[in-house]
Amino acid sequence: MSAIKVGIVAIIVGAIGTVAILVTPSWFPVAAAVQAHRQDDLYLALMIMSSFIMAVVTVFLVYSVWRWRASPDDMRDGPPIHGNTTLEIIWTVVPTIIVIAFAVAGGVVLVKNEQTTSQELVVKVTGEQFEWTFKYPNGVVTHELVLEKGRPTEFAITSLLHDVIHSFYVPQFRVKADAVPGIMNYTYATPTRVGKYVLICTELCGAGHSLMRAPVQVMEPADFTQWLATQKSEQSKGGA
Amino acid sequence: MAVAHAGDVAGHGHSHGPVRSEPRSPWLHGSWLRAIWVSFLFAFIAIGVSAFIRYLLGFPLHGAEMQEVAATFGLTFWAIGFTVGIGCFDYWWGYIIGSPNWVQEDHSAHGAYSWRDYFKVNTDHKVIGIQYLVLTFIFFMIGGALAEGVRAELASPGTQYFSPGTYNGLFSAHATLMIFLFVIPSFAGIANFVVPLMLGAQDMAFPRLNALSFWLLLPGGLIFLASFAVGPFAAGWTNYAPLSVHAPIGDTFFTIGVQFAGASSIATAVNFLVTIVTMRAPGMSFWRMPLLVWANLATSSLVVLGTPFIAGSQFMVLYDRVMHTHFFDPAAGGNVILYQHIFWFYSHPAVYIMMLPGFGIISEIISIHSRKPIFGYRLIAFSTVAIGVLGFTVWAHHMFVSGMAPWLRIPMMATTMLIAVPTGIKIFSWVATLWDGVIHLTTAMLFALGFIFTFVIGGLSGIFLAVLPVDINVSDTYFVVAHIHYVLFGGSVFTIYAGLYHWFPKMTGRMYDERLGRLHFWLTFVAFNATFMPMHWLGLQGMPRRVADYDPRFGTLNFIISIFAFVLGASTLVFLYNVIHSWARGPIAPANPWRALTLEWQVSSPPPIFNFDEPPQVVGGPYEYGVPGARHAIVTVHEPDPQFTGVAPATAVAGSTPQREALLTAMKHILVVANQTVAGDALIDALRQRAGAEPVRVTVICPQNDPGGDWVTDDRQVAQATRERLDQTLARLHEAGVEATGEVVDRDPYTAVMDQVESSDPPAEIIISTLPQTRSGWLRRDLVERVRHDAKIPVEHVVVDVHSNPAAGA
Repeated sequence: MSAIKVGIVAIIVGAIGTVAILVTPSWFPVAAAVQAHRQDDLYLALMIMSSFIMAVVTVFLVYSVWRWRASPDDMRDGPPIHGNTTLEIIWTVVPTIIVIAFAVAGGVVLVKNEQTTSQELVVKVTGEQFEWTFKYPNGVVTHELVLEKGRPTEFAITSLLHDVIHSFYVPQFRVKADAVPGIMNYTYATPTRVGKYVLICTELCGAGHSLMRAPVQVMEPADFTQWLATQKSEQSKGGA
Repeated sequence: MAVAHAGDVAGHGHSHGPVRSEPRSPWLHGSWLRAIWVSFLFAFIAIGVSAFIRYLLGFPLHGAEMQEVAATFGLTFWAIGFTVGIGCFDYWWGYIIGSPNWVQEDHSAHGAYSWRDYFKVNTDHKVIGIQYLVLTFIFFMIGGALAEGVRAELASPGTQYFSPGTYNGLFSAHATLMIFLFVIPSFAGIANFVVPLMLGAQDMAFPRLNALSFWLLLPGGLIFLASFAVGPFAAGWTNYAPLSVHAPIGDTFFTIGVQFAGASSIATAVNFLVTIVTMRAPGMSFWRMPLLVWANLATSSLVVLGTPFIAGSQFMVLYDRVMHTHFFDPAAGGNVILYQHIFWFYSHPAVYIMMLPGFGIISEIISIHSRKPIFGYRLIAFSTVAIGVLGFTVWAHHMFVSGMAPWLRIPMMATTMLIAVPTGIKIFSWVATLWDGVIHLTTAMLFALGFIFTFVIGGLSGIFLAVLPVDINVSDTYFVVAHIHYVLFGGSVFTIYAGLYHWFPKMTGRMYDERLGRLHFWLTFVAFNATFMPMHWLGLQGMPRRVADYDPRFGTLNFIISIFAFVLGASTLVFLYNVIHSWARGPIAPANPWRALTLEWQVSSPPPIFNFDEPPQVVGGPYEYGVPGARHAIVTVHEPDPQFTGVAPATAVAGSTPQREALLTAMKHILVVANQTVAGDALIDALRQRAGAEPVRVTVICPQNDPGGDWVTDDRQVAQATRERLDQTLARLHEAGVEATGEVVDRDPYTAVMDQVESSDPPAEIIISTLPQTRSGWLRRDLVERVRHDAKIPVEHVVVDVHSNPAAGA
């Protein structure tokens, strides 16, 4: 088969791979934030690109080995082909275009994900060995992260001054930022789905790293407002 | 083992002075025994001095701080003492102090004449290469065992076997050993053996520094392992501050072990740079260098420029720990993220250090085993350099979520993306090399093909990780674990295996077993993919890395992964068996089993001690397969002395028997005792002299066994080689008119001599011929003195400095 035909087979295999990728139901946990949806789309695009690249390399490799495999006593040499300038230019330029495209797409998504607005809810997150603490604008302090559906939220994250680095990660939001002693680090999420999720520490922080988690809950706006008010009054009374 | 070469004695082009004499006792000359006591002596002195200074300053001599100080100075000087004791510095020291015994190089520490030479300081790049490969493979097994510990713990949710500190130590040590004691030095070992040969050189530019590089590595590795005795370092191989600064004593072991591993790496790299730039054979322009050489040139540049940064980062952690500096202490004005910048500035180029030599190996293998020139040689060479340069511009992609300056993330994403391009060029070029080739599926080729498959996957997941929003999502999850193992195992380890199989015949002189090689490949390939492919999904689902406990819904998948991880571990045993069995008993390998063009294949397997009799002349590129009459280089081999060709039987005197006996009795009977030196010029000259003075008849005996009587040689090949040497000697003596008979005896030399002395036809004089003092087991056992004392007849001692096929004992 000529190289063109093998190439066509490769493209078909890549397309089959693409279909398989698209019909697979559970690549990701449930998407519970605007940022999550954007990341998932970007990720799918990357997977489709990968399917084609993988198909091209694998099909040409397997075909070559199958077609031109020689027995051990075959003493011939192959044809003295040193290169092909056109081909080399193509496989330099095309990948460059592809990677630049994904870099641009990634940059666009990043900027959108981190856009701030004035209606933002700012939650201060503090990590310490081995617990998370959340502080709301009205002074409420909890160990459970409760958020309002549809409300853009900024997480202002740090770690206690004499503590170590932790990392704030909610898989369902697809956002992450390290909690670093001595500085503030920020990440953003706009929850889109009511439900219960989990905050996982994703920076090795010592013996309790495996267990350093906190529950996350997204509520409807009305429920959230009520929750916040209830928490405030309870904590003012001296309970928590 | 070495091949006999008559021209070798003067073949390296210069004469020597008198042989340096060494102390007899192994406790006093460079050896393991001396390494042990000198290392501990240095450590005790260092700890003692630091304790004394603390005492003078009024600081407590107990407690955590004293432990830190003791560990810091103790470990550092222990390791330095080890390299001193084993003998790395003897030559330089003798020169510095003007020792009367100092001799400008006599090559007494050069080349492997017996298996024992592999356990000593040796300046032969081929010996050092094999030393590296064996040591690093041992650390591969240890690092792998640590990983199996991790996988055992992860087989079910919850914690089962290890305390959290120990578990964190398992994966920290796993990565540390794999990176610093396996992948990086393994490539150094392969390159050490192959590159000087490929260049047409007789050795590296700095053979003694080369030996020191190797001997720096072992104490570094031992320091890492020793941390398990005090509580292993448990902040990951990345050792981030502030966790590392607050960690218990084991972390100090890490910071110091890194210094020695790093020093080893840097010294090797300097050696390669100078060797490659200055010692290429005539006619070898840069564009005629094999791609393995290009790869090592780029890698060595990365090592030299980058490794000081990890050393610096660990020094800063060490100072924060021991001296209470505040580099990374935000409460005192320090900067936590600074650590990560310094660390990753090395550790990103480190991953290219771990990949580029592998790429070089694959280029060699794919070209040779598909009998085609490498496709796009120049572009591959450019890509190699480009990856090296670009590799210094991407470090902060390990820090996208770290809280560093947010503006830095976008440029780092751009550079990280661009590095995919030269890497892709190589992959496509390798596949194009296969296209329309004549493909031989040797084990080396199988691993090369497997590498292409797994490395594309690893490279693609790297592109995913370059895209910021995706990286933010999967950073520090099992997605990253999958990526790193695809590029490091599917990448580096597969290429190491491929290189080991490809150059096994050259290094050992034997062929490995192809069927076992194929079994090893398939076991490894299947188990590897089954272990690491599911981890991509686990990471996407939110399983973090460096944990012992995880969401129970991941339990089944983790269990399956663990099973395959153990199969992967077991696959290394197939390799180990193949190597050991083939090295000992495999079929003898020809000089060029792969019909390759590069220079290492134009000399014997294994190569002669000094590689080439004269510098080869390079006349073309190294990959000109399929071009009729193409040559890469012209290699001149000195013809052995014609007197040595052909085997002449022992001579006999013509004439009737009584006449013969009378004649024999009248002649002076000289007993010659020689084993490895039996064909030496000095010995034959001594006998000719005697024969010139009066009629002599010579009985030559070649005792095969160890002079200490410790072990018996039953190796027919060795005895056969000795017989051939003996016959050559007898032939030469016959031509010089000397009546001589001889036999190979299966006894230790002292007993063999005394048997002759006490026989019915005793000799009037004995000549004992040995290797020089530093290499002679007979002299180490005082053979000459004992025979002089016991035989009561004149004994002359002749020293022969000959490079020859080693037999047992002498």
